[in-house]
Amino acid sequence: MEKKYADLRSGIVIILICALLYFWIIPAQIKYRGQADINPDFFPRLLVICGALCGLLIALQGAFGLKKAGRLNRSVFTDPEAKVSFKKYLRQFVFLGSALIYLFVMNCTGFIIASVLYLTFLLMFFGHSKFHWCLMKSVIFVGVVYLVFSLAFKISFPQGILGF
Amino acid sequence: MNIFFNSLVQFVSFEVILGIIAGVAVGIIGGGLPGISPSMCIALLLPISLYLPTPVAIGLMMGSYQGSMFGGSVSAILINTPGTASAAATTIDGYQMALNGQSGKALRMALFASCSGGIIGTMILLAMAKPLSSVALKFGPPEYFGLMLLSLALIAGISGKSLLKGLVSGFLGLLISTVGMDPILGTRRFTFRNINLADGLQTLSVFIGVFALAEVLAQLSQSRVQLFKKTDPLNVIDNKLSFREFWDQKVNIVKSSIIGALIGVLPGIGGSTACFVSYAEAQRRSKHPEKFGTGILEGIAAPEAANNAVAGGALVPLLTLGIPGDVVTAILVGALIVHGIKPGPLLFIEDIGSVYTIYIALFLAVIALFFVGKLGIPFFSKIVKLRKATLLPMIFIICVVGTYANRSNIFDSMTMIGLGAMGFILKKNKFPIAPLVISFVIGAQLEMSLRQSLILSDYSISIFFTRPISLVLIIGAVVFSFLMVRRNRKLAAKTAEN
Repeated sequence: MEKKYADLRSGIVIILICALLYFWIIPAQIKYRGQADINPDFFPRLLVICGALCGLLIALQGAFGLKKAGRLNRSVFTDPEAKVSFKKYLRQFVFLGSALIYLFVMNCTGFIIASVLYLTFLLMFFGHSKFHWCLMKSVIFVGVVYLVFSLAFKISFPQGILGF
Repeated sequence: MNIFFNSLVQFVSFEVILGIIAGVAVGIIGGGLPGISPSMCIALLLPISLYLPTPVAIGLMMGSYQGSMFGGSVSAILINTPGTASAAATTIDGYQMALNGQSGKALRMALFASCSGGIIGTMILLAMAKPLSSVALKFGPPEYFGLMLLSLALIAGISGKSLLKGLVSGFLGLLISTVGMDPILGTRRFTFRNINLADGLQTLSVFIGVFALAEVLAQLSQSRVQLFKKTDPLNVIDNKLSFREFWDQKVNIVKSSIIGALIGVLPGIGGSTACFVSYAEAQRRSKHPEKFGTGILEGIAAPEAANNAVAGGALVPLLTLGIPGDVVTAILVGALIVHGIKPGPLLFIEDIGSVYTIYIALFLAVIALFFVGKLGIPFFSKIVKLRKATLLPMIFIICVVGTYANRSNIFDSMTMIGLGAMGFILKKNKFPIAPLVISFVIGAQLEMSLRQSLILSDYSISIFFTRPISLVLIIGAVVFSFLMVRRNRKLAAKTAEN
């Protein structure tokens, strides 16, 4: 049953995103002068329409499934099975948030310092418990990556305030 | 002939050979680690290849492609977990052999069958590519549109249980490909006034984001205990595989390789189908079919020969028509274009040297696989034991470095994180990722050929139905989609029955 709720939810979200793209984002983001038979927004609009149709069909599939099970009624949005638990994805949120912070910090502190600290944090976040062990592994790994990419491939990493 | 020898000479260098060996080794490790797919492995190698000379980069990629196909069987045999979908059939007899104390023999059979399959697949590529490219030379924009539609039809094959979800994923990939400059008028689209997006989303950010990072995020759903758990493989008993035992499998290997290569040519079907089809065929032809599943060499030779032969077959549509047959070849398209090699029929006229380079690299990759695999089996068996809690954070750092290295721009790493989050959301809601990547790769060409065709025909869609090749390709796309949907439904029904 959870799958049917997920289908209904996915379908509705797709339709909403397509509407947002069609009526707001495409007109705001694709600006052109004059009028031709095929404008630059032709292909994206075509894709959005096709996507919305698929979204509609997915939603209908979910709705029919729920109707068959006798669950398509007023409680469809309040049913505990229909709810998305964001708590379940807390670790992913923390990971993505910290990754963005890491990229910002890298600009200030440079690649090596930011990466060693962040990799140590990640190793502990993924289940390791010994800080010293994680720090040592991070130093070795980041050092190897830095040497390979900067010496062999001549890539200049963000230098940061300390110059490396 | 002269061009062929010039291409061959490129490979007589330490760097190129090292590139192939490194590619094979990374491929085996990547393929052997459950959760690290061949596509993810090649996507992670892509940034490195940008800084290498073309023959080294091609050698690295081809080595990794062949290596990852074999690598999947290492974990399949030792820990009953196929490292790749293509090694799923190998688990049936491979793990049984390991339980019987014959893991060394099973691994060697897998290696020799993989190498044989790789060589036969390369030969089939050689035989089919040139004639097919001659036909493709007659193509104009409407025919290209038909061709792109045909390659989009493979979405039906890789969508799994829900075609609709596969289509949504495909449309999303096409939409992502429209970011940047309009291919005909040069108008900026979806750039949000950000100069970094003027060139569109970087191929690497898309590949690494939706494959590697989305996978890291998905693995994060496991508990810390599970992530920290060490996998205990069975002891590798170094029992030898005799030449007689290998020779007895010759017919089985040749037949399975041909099946694998031909399935590889068909877009969207891929290694997993090839290995199961060849396994079933080997069982059907066997004198003792009842022994399949109890741990016999035939049950390893067939799927392993088939899945490595797929690599050669999958390169046929890629090189001749410019359409990727599966996700790995979709990533290879990106790698080849970065090195100035544009796959398609004109490649055989304008740059035949590059075609030979790819053939030779694929062939040498198989030879390298033989030596690296033979020497490295004990070492690779140990790597399978790596804790995910150690591996995944390191993969993330490589993802960041890989996307940054492309243009020395942190913005690309940020888009990779955004695309990774998107890939994770799609995964969690059971939307397949592969259609997104394939659509992203062919998106620009599809739009261009559609618009050019419409301009040529004064905006009439009849142009697609009045030109014979275009019509055949469009009908082919419809028929192919129908067959794929039917196959998927049958498979789903079979799974439900079981």
